Amino acid sequence: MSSRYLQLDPQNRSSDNTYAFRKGYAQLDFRIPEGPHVLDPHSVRLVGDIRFFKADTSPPTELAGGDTLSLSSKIGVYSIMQALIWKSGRTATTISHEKNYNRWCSSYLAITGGMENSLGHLSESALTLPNFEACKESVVCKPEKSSFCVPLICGLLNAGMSLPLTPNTLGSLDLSIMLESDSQALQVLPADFENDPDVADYLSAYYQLENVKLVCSVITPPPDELSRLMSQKQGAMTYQSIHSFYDTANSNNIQLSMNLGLSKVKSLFINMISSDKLNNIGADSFATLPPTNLDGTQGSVQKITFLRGGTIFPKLFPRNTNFKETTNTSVYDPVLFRDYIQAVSKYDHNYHNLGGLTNANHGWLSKVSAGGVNRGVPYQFVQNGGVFFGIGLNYDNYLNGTGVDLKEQTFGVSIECDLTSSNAQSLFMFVNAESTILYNESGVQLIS
Amino acid sequence: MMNDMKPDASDTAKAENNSSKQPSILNIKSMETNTLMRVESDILSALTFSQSECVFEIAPKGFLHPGSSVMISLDAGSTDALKDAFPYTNVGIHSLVRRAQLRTTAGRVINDTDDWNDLQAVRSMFVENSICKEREQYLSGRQTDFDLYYDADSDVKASFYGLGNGMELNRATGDVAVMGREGLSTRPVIRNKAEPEFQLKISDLFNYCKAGNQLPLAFLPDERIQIVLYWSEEAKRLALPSSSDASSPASFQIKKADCKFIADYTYYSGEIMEDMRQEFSGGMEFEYTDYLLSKQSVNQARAVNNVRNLGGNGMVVDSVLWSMNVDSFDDRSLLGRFTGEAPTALGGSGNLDRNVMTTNLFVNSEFLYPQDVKNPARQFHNLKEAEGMVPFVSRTLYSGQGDEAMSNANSTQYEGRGQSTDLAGKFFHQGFRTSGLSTRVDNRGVDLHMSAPMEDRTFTQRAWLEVKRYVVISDGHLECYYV
Repeated sequence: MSSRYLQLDPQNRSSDNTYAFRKGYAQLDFRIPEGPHVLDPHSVRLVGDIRFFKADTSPPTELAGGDTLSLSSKIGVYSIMQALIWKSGRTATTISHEKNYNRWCSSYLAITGGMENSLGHLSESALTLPNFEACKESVVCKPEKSSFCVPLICGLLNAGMSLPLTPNTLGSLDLSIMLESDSQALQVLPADFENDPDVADYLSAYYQLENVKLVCSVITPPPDELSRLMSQKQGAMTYQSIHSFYDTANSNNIQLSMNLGLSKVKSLFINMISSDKLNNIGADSFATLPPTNLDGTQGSVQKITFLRGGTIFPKLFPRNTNFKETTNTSVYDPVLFRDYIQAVSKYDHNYHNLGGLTNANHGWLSKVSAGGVNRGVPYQFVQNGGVFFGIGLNYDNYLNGTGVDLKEQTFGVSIECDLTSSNAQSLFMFVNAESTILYNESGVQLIS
Repeated sequence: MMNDMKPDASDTAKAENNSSKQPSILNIKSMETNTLMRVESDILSALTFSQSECVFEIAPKGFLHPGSSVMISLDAGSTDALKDAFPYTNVGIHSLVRRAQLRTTAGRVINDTDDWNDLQAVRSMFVENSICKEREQYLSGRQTDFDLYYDADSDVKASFYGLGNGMELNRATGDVAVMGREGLSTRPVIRNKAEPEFQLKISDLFNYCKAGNQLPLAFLPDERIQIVLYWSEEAKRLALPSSSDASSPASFQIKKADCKFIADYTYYSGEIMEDMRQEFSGGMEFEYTDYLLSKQSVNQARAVNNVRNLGGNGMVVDSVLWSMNVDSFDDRSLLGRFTGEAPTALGGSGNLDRNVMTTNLFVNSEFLYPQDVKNPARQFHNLKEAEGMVPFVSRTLYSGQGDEAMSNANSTQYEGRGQSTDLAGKFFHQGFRTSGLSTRVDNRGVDLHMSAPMEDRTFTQRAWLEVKRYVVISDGHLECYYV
């Protein structure tokens, strides 16, 4: 067995090796070539430099210290990735499609990494830095560019299984990274607690990637194993895929009901944000907030019920949160907090996450306020990477961990909350389910 | 609660790919729980001790657990200036050991790592920050953890971050004698005047033990295992706070009376031992790794297009770790000489904050990477690949980029030292994973290619090859070979 490193340029490489959504580059395409080898899934990294501009003038207006443009301090460079699409090059079959990838990252990174990760190694690889000011000044508001090298965290690669790239299996692997729009990826921070972000100077602000590469390593198996692989007529691989769903709600009794079309669902979580904050450069589009009212107050969750096929499942009772019993409580419901983490990683094995009293509380507002700090901290200024909230559910403890069938039965969730004003909320639901990739002589198929 | 305890490095180190002839009883990871196991500890004095080396000899009984450790403390010194000295923040008390050797009285050397303290500057990056904060600063003096430094007038706005050791930043200004020094101070218990006792674990000292391997002392009745530590020079063993600058370079003596080896022996019932003797009567053998050092002096001119042979001919090399430091750096800094220097500052429109270092490895007639690696974040990733764990340092400390978030201001200094000056770009250690080569290195050896605009100084470029070795124990004797 031997391994070899690959360094791949985008297939849609630009003439000056720069890529900006604003300049018409909406995606990056890479092809990992087929050959007598398998892909080491842990080795895949997107590498490059990123630079930010204040305005799309000629020449572009550069940023300097004191400007107020920033990007999500929690997910850093992941902000620019809207979707990851993996295809088998042999048949062009999509084998993994992670939509709203950056929204997923804003929950996933906060749950799986704590301050020491976000302030430490992720600051080098993904340009995170869990405070809005330090992140703004050291990553964005400067004329210099910053280097990054990020793993493409996704179900297909996280499974840890080597992906065969021989002509009779998957063939080459095509990866498309859909780039995020500037107004979603970037945000202008308020100057203080009382004034809205001054976006006038940043309406054409944009990010630009340079020297982008995909690096990975491929492994050539020992001769006997390779021979067996090359002569395979058919094969199958099972992995934990991540599926994204989107819905909106504008009620104090949020009802979500949808057919997921997935037969082995292991867990899911929902992160929310009010719809006016999406694609809005005056807002942090990657904040994970509870329902919020027009005046900025939190529409705190009072009761939550998960359903399957119209019956309560898996918990056989609705969850009344601590807020329902004690409306002046300062902290989020501990069971909701735990279940949110549990939807991603086992709670008792989760040593580090960004959640805590400083960012999982009722003390912040979803907008600046004339009352200033006495009314609450604007959500952009919340410490440790921002507000830590989500609704999670882990099915893995049920039915011996084989997953729950939500193909034939509809999934539902009912959330009673204090959303008392007309303020539409966007709900991003991410479902972790078992999927199987089948390949044979006639093609490649994905079964979920 | 056990679940809440963070595992120690020696508990979690992945077991090596041991030969099938290695009995599971010799590896603490793969062994089933055995209620017949008994643990006993001896506290051993050094066989010989001086300020340049010391030797411990271990009695042939049971199995030596890799969590065994050497206890060290330093003389508090006679002047106040020396009393405030503290361990370097990244390597801690590991700065004391220049060379670590594990050998038998028959002369067989199991592990022998030269410039071990410099190697620890690299490997200490892989200790989680929270473990440093909660445990290592007391055990070994390593203090690499980070805190956000919130602005004086805000509860939420942090313009800077820096080292965090559990102490509060002192923002009071005025008469130092009254208000104390601004910024962060080391914990009083690790300052030299407290005469702290530190520990060096043998799992850190020797790769044989890092893999979780126990030493089968009972199977070596005719020879003894010796631990030989060669100390670093007396000057610059500890860091000085800025208030003690006039005393630099300061010398510190290791206290002979406190230099002990805490040997943890594991015993099993006679039945298990006898079964094992029978099973491996023909001998037992198993693999581990050792570090081979290669170093050279590099000045500014030679750091450009530098190609150097690191050796490794005919060996199986798992990884290469290397870095550039300045040996003449003294104790008036937080890291002393235990740095990995990044290239010079650059900056300006469209540039990176620092110049780039291009790196590659030429081995077995081809380059490891198809194109030279220039991106510092990717070099960070390569270092992670080499050690199998992310380095727990920030972007500013590693590549020197994003140094706007680190300051030299008095209110953010650590022991009176500007953190931006002392830390930014000082952890730029490099690593290559070569275990995927699958074959041993050919007779040309490994060539390191690097090129970088460095400061006008004389650097020492140290490279360690992690090579595979194996031990054979038969007839009460131990032999070591390269794979």
